[in-house]
Amino acid sequence: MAAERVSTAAAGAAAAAAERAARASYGRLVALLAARSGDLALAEDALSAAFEQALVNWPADGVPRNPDGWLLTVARNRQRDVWRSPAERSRAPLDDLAEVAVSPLDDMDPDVDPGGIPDRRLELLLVCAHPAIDAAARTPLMLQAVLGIEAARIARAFAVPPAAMAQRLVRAKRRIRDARIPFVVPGREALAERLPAVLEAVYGCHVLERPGSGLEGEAQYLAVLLASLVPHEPEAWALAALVTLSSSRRRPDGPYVPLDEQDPRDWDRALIAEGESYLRRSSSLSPSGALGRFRLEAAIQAVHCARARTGTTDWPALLTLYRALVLVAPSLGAHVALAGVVGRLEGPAAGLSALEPLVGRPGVDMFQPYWATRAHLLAAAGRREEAVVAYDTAIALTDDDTVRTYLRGVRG
Amino acid sequence: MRYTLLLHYPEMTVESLGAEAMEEGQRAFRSYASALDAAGVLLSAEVLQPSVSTTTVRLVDGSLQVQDGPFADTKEQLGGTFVIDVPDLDAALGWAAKAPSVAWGAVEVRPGSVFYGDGAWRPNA
Repeated sequence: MAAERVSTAAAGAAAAAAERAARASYGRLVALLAARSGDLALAEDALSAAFEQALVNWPADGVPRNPDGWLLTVARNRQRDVWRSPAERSRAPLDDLAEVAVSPLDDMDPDVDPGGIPDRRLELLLVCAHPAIDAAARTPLMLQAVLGIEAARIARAFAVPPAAMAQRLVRAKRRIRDARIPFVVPGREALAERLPAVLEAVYGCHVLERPGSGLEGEAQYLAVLLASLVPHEPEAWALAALVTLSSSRRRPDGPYVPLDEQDPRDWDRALIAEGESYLRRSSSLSPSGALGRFRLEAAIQAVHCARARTGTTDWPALLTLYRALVLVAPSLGAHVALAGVVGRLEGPAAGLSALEPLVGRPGVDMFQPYWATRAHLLAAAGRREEAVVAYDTAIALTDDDTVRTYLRGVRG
Repeated sequence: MRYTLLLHYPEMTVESLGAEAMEEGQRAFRSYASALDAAGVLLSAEVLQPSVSTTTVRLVDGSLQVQDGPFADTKEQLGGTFVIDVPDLDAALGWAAKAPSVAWGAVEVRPGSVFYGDGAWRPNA
């Protein structure tokens, strides 16, 4: 009995250690395993085999002193076995075979990283958002390769069938390997060209991250990771701020409450403080330079979050920020949000006029926020019948149940 | 790693283009090829005659069909190929971007699979 309890406890400790190693190191290890051969799928398979091995070995032998090093060694051996198999021998580059004959621990350079494992995750993020990769595959690739999220969960968040998502990921990984997309950090100028796509893919994760999507917290992890890997990039810190500040207001359960009706006491003060620190960092990196899109969006979030401290929302500040945002990044969403702020400050008629230029723009008919904002403004202007029509359109375009319920309620 | 750069562009003649522009294009291709050569990455380069000179051979229902004209009758035609040997896709894309014809057409960058040499097919690596 006692022995059984001990082994259960050991198994529990080992499982917890494996879990921690998984969360903290998954992306690091995948990046390192994939960097030389470019074979992301094999790197992931080898690493998951190593994790399985850990769950068998660690409870019996104890958790190794350097779990990451252990996992890396086992995964490297696994890669080598695959490369040496008859099926792969004809395909595997000879220099890769020669290379794996050396100890995998040679990869560890204590001068580069005190933990011993060099961090190649920026290379991995750049590969995931490489211009030669289909834009629709970039965010899913990051979620899988950097965070280890399985295809089925990504598929749910993207609302596509699991088989379709799995195929999209397999194709992208094959392309990385076969076209030899390099795991490198390009020079400063090329990095500046490539970074927007990486930011965009992380932002794509944030957009998907509704409660119940199964992705809560993942965009924040990715955004902060990216910023820490390119610490001199103001837009990367701005994206980290944007995602962190919006996360502070995430409400896991319960009915939908529009932002300006939320009680700031429900918000996460620690996340607000964290997000504000990222925004300050972003500002300090480009004090006078042109404001980037994510800086403006983060500043908008910061204005909303400031209500937790001041008790009021600074609408004129929001108006200024949204006016700047539609110049820098004239998305439908930015225009609709601007119209909402105009409506609040200058009355519903002014808000409706601000929506007017959007009529006929591609995609606007299917853009839920346009119809929801239009409905609110029409209702505020006393144009009851038109408001009901707009509400009905918004409701039909809503895929979130709580939002639908809310809209039905205000439509009356 | 071997990549083939496939240069697609609308076909032009000396008449439609003017002798001077044609000369200018040829000069640009000369210096592009020399640059590839000087970098030690050029394996072969070929600029093709216009598709009016091309003939396509097909087997249709078991019988050989020889037809004048290109495989696909499109506005942009394959106009030339460069086979280069570079470390990775980024390097290949870099050379593709320098091809003179990007100014007037698309450059497709296709990784090689196997190539024939010294009496055998060899994997591209």
